[in-house]
Amino acid sequence: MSKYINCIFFLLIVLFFAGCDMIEYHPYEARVEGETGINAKNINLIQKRLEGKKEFKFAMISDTQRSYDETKKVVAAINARGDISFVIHGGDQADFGLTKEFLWTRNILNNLYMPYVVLLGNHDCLGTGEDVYKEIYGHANFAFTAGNVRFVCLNTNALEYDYSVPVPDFDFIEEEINREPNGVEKTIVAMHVPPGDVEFNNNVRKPFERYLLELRGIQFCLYGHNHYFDEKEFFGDGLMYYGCTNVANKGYFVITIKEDGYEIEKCSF
Amino acid sequence: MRLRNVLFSILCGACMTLSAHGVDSLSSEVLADGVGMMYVPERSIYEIRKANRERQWQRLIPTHLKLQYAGSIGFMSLGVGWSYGKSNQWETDLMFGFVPKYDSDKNKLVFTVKQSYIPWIVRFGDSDFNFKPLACGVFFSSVLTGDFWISEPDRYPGGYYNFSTRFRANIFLGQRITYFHPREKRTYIQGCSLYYEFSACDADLVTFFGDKCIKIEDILSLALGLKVHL
Repeated sequence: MSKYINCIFFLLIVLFFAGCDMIEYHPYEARVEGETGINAKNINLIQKRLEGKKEFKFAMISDTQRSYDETKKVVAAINARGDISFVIHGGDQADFGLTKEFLWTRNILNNLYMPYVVLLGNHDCLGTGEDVYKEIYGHANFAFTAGNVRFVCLNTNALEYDYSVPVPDFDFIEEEINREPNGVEKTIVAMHVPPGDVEFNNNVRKPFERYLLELRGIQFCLYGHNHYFDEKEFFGDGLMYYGCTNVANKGYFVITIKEDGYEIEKCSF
Repeated sequence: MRLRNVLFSILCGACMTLSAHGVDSLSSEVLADGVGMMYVPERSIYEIRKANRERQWQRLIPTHLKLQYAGSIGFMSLGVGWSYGKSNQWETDLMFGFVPKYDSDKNKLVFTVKQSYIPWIVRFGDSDFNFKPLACGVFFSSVLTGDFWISEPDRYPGGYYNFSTRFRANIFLGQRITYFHPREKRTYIQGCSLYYEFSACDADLVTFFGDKCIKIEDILSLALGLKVHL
């Protein structure tokens, strides 16, 4: 008996000294430690690195929730390629919206050799998740310029707000439509939830499409959420929507922007 | 005139209180003595039942207070609890914790029900200290404020998320060291314990068992606490 007691005693003492960074006030505490404002910093890097370029490659990963092993692997796979200029994460980095989930994912994504931006997914909105997302990454609607391409990243998780917040935010899209070109010739739209999904505000899916079509040289849309690769022309108007699978399915997109078009490659790791 | 009346009534009141107190203490002495008992009024069935009822209710008086730092139920939490069992090996606590808002938009209040099992006590000779090498159990916490739900709001299709953001189930284990005042020196309390505990919540355990790169130390939450034995 006393042998067991000694064992437990020893184990717990060891754990106690290891416990210094095990202080958690609540799983949804929203106490963000470490790097914040990541999207803004990385957008600066992307804009500087690709200034004046008309051809480049970028990768898209999505729905990394509770797949930390696979997220590590996809980061290693993208790093090993050496031809990727930046990475877009399509949202749902958290599953429960717990603060720790955001920190774990951020710490893995920070191992990418290239800058990355992260979209807001519906799971990221749970509990205090959206507040944590905003602290670590920034606004849920954001846009940046890579070479001659404008990337418009939108929050489309309307159901999470019970329609009390303008999602999708047409004012934001309109600002992008009315923006001075500044060398931008093409636009790519990225979102987490595609139109038609129960999470999307489907009452405005057609006006949404109309607004997108007004963006300068709109090329195609990217989304995540569904956990499988897909490509669809939702409205029969020539605008393609490409769905990226989740990392648990060991897939990601590599998208090549060429002077006269683009190529989308479904990659596995 | 009026002043004299007031003074008189105060004096009367004081005398009555004193005499009542005297009688009270005398009768209790007689009862305690048992031998010199001259007259004990027979208690009616009602009085016996009333006394029994009161004894039952008295069991609801908490046997201890707890103050805890961290441990996933609040920055600081305060609670009352009951120790019971042959060697007080069972313990139930009700706790309220406060979580400052940090990077979210609201402070949070968290209510916790905690059930502990403390199987062993190690005594050091006849010192006033003892050590409990293991305290383990479960606790259930619920966020009382903010946009959290037990089951999904109606706007979601059925089974959309399939878990609760408000409610967390946790398991824990820890250790304690207890100091008991010698019986004759006690004034307000019997003594107190210092404890620490490691806990893990349901959501983190799901992640831990699903991912190799999430280590046990990534999901454990440390609590430090003080238990005041009343």
